[in-house]
Amino acid sequence: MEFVQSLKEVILAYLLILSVVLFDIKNRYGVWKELLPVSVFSLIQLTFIGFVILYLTKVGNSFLNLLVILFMTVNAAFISSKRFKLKAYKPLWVFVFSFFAIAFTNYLLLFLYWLIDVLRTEAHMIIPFAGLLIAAGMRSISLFSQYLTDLLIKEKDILEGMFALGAGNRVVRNYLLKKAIPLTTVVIRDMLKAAGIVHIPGVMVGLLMAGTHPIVAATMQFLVLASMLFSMFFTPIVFYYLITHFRGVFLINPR
Amino acid sequence: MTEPFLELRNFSVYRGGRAILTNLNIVLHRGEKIVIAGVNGVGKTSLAEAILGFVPFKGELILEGKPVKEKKDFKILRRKVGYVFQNPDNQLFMPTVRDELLFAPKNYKLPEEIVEKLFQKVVNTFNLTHLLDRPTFKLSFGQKRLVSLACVLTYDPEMLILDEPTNGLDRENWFKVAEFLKKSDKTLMVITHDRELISFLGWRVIYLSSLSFVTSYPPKEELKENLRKG
Repeated sequence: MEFVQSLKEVILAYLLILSVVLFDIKNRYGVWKELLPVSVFSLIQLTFIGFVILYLTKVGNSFLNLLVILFMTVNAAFISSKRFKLKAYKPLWVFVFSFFAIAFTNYLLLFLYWLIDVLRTEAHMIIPFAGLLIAAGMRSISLFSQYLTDLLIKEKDILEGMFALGAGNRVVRNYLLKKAIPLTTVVIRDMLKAAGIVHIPGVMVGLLMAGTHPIVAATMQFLVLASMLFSMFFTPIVFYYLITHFRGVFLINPR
Repeated sequence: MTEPFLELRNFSVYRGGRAILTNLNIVLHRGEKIVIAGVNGVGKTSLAEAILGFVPFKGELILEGKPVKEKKDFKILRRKVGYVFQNPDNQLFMPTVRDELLFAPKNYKLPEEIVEKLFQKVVNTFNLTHLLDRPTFKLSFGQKRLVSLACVLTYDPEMLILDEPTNGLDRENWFKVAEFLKKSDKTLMVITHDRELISFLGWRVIYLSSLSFVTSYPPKEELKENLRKG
């Protein structure tokens, strides 16, 4: 019965992806080339993590759970560093700083939640929660990179003007962050605004469907949203601080 | 013979990987004033931006006898060589004119009493008192031009590079800027194609042509004479 249900869901998901691909090919938006392999890998990855969580829950080893989180962080850093387009920074450095930014910001939260017993290190709890935060951090670095590149092109003259007037890396970095961070966090801020009045977010839906008390589901969802906000706000700041502190602020065209 | 303040040796400027000015040789002594002229697009602004380290170049850039190569060298150069951009909006990013004028002194951590003195002097020179608390985006183009010049002067660099400083100014402000340049005791490099300004200043003119062929006039003797007059 469960297998039939899962099969139905997969077929439905692929129908949706197929509709996007067909529309994309017809209108030449150019997304389908990435979408086809991604949709296959995405299903494999999700199924794989499902089996991993199942196995880890049975084994009950917290160290293995942390290894999985570390693996997720490495992947997140790799994906977000691929989106970073400033050729002045070597890809390896971008990856390293992405990793540290995602790890520092989100492990801090996970540690805090573990400390006050909001989160336990059991696989079915810590892995999905860490995944949410790490993905939020990854997305925020990708978005930040996009906005930063745009800013460096659009405001090149102003940034040169700042340097000409003796502004150091710190002043220019703060100026860029001040412009890019509001744009980077717009999605999560809108999600916070709209939660409950426009949509019921995914975690709450899952909890409600699993029969959790609606108020418990609501507070959990609120914590998840706040954690995502924290991650999306601080991860790019930490990332840009690290990369500009150790490699400098560059005003170079994107590759 | 004193050491040159700024020297360009076999200096070539690149834009998009292509050399737009090649093998320039310019020597500028302390207190010397020159005009860089040339048709539009010849690379006058790029030359200034290369000196400031914003555009790639090959050759030697020497400030007070020391080569300028690394990022930290350019930091020192920018402290000593103030640059007034062709477009004043490039230099106006603070909320008010007052903040704008104090931006550079704050970056260079100048002592408060010196900042106060320089601030008052600059405000009086360009008559900016009534504009001090006005948002910079609400200024007219002429006012922006004056403020962009003023905000460089508030940190008192030894040399100024001014890119089209009289562009878009009305008659009154044109004279204000031209008189300031004429009376200034700083080392000056004025980039312009304003013929009236060139003849008003009467300084040595370095003319850049599209083939990077550089002519310099008046001759050296005349230059000394002009410097004495200036």
